[in-house]
Amino acid sequence: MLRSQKGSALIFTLILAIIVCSAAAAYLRTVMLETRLSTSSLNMNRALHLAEAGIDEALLALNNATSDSWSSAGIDAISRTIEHRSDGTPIQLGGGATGTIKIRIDDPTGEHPVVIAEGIVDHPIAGKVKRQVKVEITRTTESGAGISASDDGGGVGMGLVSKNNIVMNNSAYVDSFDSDVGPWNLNTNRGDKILVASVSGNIQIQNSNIFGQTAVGGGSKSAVSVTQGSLTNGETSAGTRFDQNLITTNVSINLPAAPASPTNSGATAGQALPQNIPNGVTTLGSPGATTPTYYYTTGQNVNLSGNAAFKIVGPVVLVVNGQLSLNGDGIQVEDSGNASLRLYVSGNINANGNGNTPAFNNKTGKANNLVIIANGAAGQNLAVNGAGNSTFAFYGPNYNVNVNGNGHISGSIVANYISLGGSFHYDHRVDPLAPGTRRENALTSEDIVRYHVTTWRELTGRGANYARDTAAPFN
Amino acid sequence: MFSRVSRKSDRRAAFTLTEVLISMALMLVLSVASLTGIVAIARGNHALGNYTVMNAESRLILEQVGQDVRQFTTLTSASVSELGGTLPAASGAGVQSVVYTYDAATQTLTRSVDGVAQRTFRDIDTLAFNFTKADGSSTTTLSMVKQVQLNGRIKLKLGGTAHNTARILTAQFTLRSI
Repeated sequence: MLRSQKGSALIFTLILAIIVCSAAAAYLRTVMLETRLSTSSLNMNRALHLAEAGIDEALLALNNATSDSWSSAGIDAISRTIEHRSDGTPIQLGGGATGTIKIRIDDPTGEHPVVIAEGIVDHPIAGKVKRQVKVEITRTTESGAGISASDDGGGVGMGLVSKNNIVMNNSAYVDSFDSDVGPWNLNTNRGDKILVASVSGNIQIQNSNIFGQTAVGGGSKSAVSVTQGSLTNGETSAGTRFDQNLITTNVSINLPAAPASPTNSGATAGQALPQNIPNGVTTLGSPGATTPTYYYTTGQNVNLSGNAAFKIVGPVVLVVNGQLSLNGDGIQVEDSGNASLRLYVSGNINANGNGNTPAFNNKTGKANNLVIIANGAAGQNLAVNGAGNSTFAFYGPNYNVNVNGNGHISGSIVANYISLGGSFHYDHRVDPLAPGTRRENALTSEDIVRYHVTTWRELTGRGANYARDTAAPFN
Repeated sequence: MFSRVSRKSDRRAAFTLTEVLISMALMLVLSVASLTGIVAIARGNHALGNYTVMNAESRLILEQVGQDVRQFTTLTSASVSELGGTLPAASGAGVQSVVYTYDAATQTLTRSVDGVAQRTFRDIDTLAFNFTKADGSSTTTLSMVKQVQLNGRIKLKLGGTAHNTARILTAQFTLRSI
């Protein structure tokens, strides 16, 4: 009987070993599965980041105007494949995996280029993973209104931007409107997309009402003060007059110098205007033209007095190398014949008008059609008195702007200091983020061009809008 | 003589009471020890399975929310338990709305497309959406939101009162298209 029990220990041990081994095998299988999932998840993430890097590369090239040196690869576009870093080594992702970035820019010289970037991760065990990202880009110009609005903290566009203080007194309505819909209207054409930003000063709201957002650079919300007025937007709860949520405190906007005035030669050669502008109407421009006519004043200080006026009937670039005083009928931009004015001034600007019509009488109602680029040295002024209803976009980061009178100004102002004594309505159509037509004129080389992303989508292959791009270089 | 020997051998063939008791005690100790080990292994296996499921689910959530948020062209809701926006429709023109709703009672996170529940993530113990402005300060004002983060926990039963949990903390996804 003892003899027959001799093998029981072996059997018992074997059974135990089988149990332990099968448990270990199950563990191992789970661990291997988890490793595979982790590796593929990691590679998916890597591929997305490579594609994002491709988008950044394309934006950099567009902003630096270097994309035209990329290979065209026999397609109607500009494309680039990055397999190596600048030092010539492949993009090593560790564990034997390598990365490749493919980029294509469609319509690189248009107003809305499209960039498609693909990140490819080649893993020795998990194989290849590809992800595609497509972004639509909008080209904006610095002049008049456009700074990249990504700096503003709230995701809205521009409006009143100054390096130093902004003071508002009796500005009943500081808000925005869409000039494509028509003129500002309190009930039917009014928005809260205005940004009132002071990069290193404060914002004083006195007896004025801002329907939009504010931003200061000093880090403290106390830089925005409201005295008998309000700061609200469409999301402000009823009854609140000073909505602290509408103050961004770390705004950082790089205001580049205003573009230099064109010179009277070559492609920008134009007609000379006499030193003394005669009384009556001086008509500038050619109706219906698509390229601007250039005019250069010969006098240091240009003064329109009495009933002297400039009537703009087509696309016009007017260059004043000195001071500009508008004491007569001022400047009228007609609402016909593609009329628009880009005005370069290097000295003080005094826009007084004559009491009957505003000095900047933009009949098109669109701020893009009357852009003032003030490129003088620091300490110069823009003084607008008896403003009436004026529509213009002013870009002069060195200028101190004083608007007196209780009229309505529509458009945008970028300056060193802003004092406002009337209502101000920011024109959505100079909002760099708003899709659609922002400019009425063809862009010229005078403009400082900048690109930013307006829509982002991943091409996952699901649905027509997300179909993968299979054209070169992705084929 | 024979009968004596036979009697002696009969006596040897049996176990004494002490031997039986000792061997039973030893058997008991051994089986308890091995059973505990086997139960521990089984629980470990179960937990490992739970973690695999939770990891897969949190990856899915991370991936899906990240993709949607980056593609939102407008934000329509921003609260602790709801995130909604519109993005280009999958096919054809126009937009479609995508809303994530967390229901604490049923412990589910539902992704609805144009009002129709399209995918439900289960066993979500806690979940909160955080919304921040570009400067990193928090906000729920729709026009100010620039980044979205999801902070939650998945909880699966392990047996008895024990649970396995996994934290889901996403990156701050930037609203790229707004």
